Amino acid sequence: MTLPSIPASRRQVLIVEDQADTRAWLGQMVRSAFKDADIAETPSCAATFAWLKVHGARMAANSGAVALIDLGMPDGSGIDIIRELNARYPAILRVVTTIYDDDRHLFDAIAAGAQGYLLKDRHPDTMVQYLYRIDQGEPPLSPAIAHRMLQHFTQIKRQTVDPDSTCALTAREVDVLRLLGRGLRVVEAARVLGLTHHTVAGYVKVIYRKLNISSRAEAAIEAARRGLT
Amino acid sequence: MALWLPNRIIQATLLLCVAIVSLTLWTALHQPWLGLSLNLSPETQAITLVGIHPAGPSRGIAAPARLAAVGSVVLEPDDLVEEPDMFESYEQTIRFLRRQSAIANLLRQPDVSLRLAGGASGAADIVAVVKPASRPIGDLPAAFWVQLVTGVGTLLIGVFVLALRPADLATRLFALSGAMIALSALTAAVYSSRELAIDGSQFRILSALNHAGSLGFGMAMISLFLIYPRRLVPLPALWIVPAVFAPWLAADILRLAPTQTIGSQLPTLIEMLLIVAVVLVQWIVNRRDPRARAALAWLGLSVIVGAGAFVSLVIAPILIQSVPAIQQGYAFGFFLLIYAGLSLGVARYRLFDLSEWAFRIGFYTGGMLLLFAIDAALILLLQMQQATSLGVAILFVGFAYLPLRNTLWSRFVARQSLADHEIFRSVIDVSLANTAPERSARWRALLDKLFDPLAIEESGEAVSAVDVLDEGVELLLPPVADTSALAIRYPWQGRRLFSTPHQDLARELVRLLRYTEESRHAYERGSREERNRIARDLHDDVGARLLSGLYKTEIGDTHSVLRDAIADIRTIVSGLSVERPVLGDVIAALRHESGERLGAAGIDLHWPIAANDDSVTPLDYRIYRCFVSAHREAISNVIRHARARNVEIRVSEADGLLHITVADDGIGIDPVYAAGSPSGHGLRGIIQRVGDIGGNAGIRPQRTGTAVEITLPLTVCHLVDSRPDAHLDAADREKQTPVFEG
Repeated sequence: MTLPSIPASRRQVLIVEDQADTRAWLGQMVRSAFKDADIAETPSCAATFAWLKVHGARMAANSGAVALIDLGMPDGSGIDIIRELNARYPAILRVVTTIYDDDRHLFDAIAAGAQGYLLKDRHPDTMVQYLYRIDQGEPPLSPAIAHRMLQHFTQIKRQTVDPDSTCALTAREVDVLRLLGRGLRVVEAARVLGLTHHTVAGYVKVIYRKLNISSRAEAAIEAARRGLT
Repeated sequence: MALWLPNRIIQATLLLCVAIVSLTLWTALHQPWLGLSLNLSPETQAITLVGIHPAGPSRGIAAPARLAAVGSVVLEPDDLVEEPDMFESYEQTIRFLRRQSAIANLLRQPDVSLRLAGGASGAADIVAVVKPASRPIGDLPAAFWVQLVTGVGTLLIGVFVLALRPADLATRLFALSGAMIALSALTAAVYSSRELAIDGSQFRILSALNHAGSLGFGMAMISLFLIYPRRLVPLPALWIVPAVFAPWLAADILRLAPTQTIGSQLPTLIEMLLIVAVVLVQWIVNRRDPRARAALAWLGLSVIVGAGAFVSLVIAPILIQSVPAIQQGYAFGFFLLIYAGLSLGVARYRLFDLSEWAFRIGFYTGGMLLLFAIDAALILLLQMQQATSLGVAILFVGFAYLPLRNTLWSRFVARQSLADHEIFRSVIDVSLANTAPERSARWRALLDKLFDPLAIEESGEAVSAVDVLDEGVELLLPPVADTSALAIRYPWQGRRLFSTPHQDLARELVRLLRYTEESRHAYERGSREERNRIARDLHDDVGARLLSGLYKTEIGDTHSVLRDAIADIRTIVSGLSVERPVLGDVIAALRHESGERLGAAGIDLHWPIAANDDSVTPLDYRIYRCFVSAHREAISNVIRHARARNVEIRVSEADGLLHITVADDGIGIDPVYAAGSPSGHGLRGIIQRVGDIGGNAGIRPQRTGTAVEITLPLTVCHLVDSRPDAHLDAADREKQTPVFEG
């Protein structure tokens, strides 16, 4: 679907979802979250790429642009879309929509550049809350994903010799990950660490980004190695 | 006796046949030969020369002509008779034999004068003098060959059956009958193919043997049908048959009977009638046994048709003073019918309890004969082609003879043996086959490859352990690999016997197979139990929830029911995706989920991190499900009914038990709610679910609010599944008592 010509000030939201009912439902949820949003919907990866070619730049130019991306698409994976958005239109907020919060795919999506995720089976009000928080830079983190991240960064630390690498976690960040891995929510983790909710949420956002950077670095090393051999 | 291996018996008989054929041929050819082809013309009753051998001693004579006399003996029509016992009286026979001696004497002289009568035109008699020579093999008439082949054939077939069942009286009698026919046919072959005369005393001996053979055949056949398919008389009673006919034979040979017809033809006819009678009695006696009847029908019919044809075409006419309808020599061929019919009987009706596998031994014997034939052909070929250069001979041997011989050798003689690792792999292949029939087929194929037996059959009796019977002829195997007990007979095509190493090998195979079968059963049982658990979870939990959602009238209630169902599925999927969920991870996930749910309802969760957050205790799938479901249910109840502000949760691990406490500071428990909500969930559901896996759940009212306390066993041996599971029990019961399809 294409958008008609829109005024530059309204927030733009792109919903990438192949199931029509879910698409409609997500659209309703977004509308109750951002009353003045202009919502575009694409049902497949190919349609998404085509839409982005035409409207991506304009969408990125507007502030507050959000893309809700379903991972299981019929003609590919949402992860490719996330990568494309991360590379070309990094200003668009990348949010994954999924049913499972302990899925391997979700971890890969975050590693590819997702900045948050929404669980599709939650009550719409709950989803709206989460969407607000992600929009404000406070993405959620389930214990399973936190564990995987810990494993990932531990492995990175073992492999790289460079301690100043930008994708290594600070000690505080590791603490946050550990506590979230135990199932604490951000509020409780903040209480345990003696920090504010806002600080801890910021750490989570940084951890997201570092995961993306480190996995991109990994991919680059791998590509270089392959190129050499 | 086990020394009498089938192929040894057959090889011995083949040698014997070669000896017999040589003897017969020698006797037939070692007669003085004139090179004449004589016939008795039916109209003139005169002995006529119908043909002269172009290379024979009589090649100067012109044919046709009437042979009137040899030397001083004037020839009579009876001199050419094929079978002397066609004469009605012994006097005629004695006279005939005397004349034969006289003629034979004359023929032994270096010069023989033949008087050829003039034709009807009244020409003068010609006297020709010929020097007798040795008879060439090509001059023997067709009747000779028919009788020779019949004799050898019946002997071989009789022995073939005997070789496979040496201990059986029926097969012994059958082989005896074959030998008797051979005796009868081979002696008749010699004297019925004579050119003109053989010495009288020689003739008499041959004739006596011929009579012995035919009467012996009858005796053997009567005795056979008295005991096969069912024994009609006690064994000692069988002696009556020879007691009757042996003296009769003696009377005939010694010429004591009143006439030759009575002495020679009559007993044969009576024997034939007795055979028919006994076959009929067997038919009636076996009317309720279709298998016996089938075998009997085939054998009985073959014997009656074969022998009966001979009797009715040759013997009966003699009895009524007429000429046999067909030359006796050709009529012998009818006996071959019996024995040919026998092969079909064996194949189709399990005659003598033999089956198709009996033919495999003929296959092997045929192969050996082919090998010898090739070697003989080589020798002959090289002898004949004396001009061939050495080079050509070597080329031929190298490129044609040796490869052909090797192929035949490996096909018929070489034994396939399996290396140890091949045996091992074959055993694994047997037990890893997918279906029971396939396992059975592979097991049989392995046995066939290993032992190359003539027969692999299902053993009738129950076999509990590997055993070797019959001094190494038979190997018994207990039921294994979805196959019933097997009996393997005549290993290596009957060339060797089973011995202790083979028995040990068979024991090892059975043991290996049983071991892998048990492992497979255990695996299948475990996998089935797993499936049952998942099915039960889906059925009881998710199914029940979705069903309750169907009955909600408020869409909001339906939504919350669906959400709960999705949460259930999420739990089941998580539980299945790892080998075993770890306690620490489960606590973390529950803490996160409970925190979210309570937070959304405005309730604060206090669940501090404790030592067991690091616990790596693996949880059995059932315990994991119960833990998660009970916990969720407790939280749901607090959210729905407790009107609390704070919830405190403690989880601890001790002595193989998991203790969970969910305490709220709400309005406290009401007995109505304790009884459980109509949907079946609720606190009563917790108590039941926890109790099903051998745990405990209780509700403890507090000063403010309620505490739900749950205790779960952490290990499977503490687990007591009291839920009736019909599928599980039935399947397990099946596996306790294996029943194998044969």
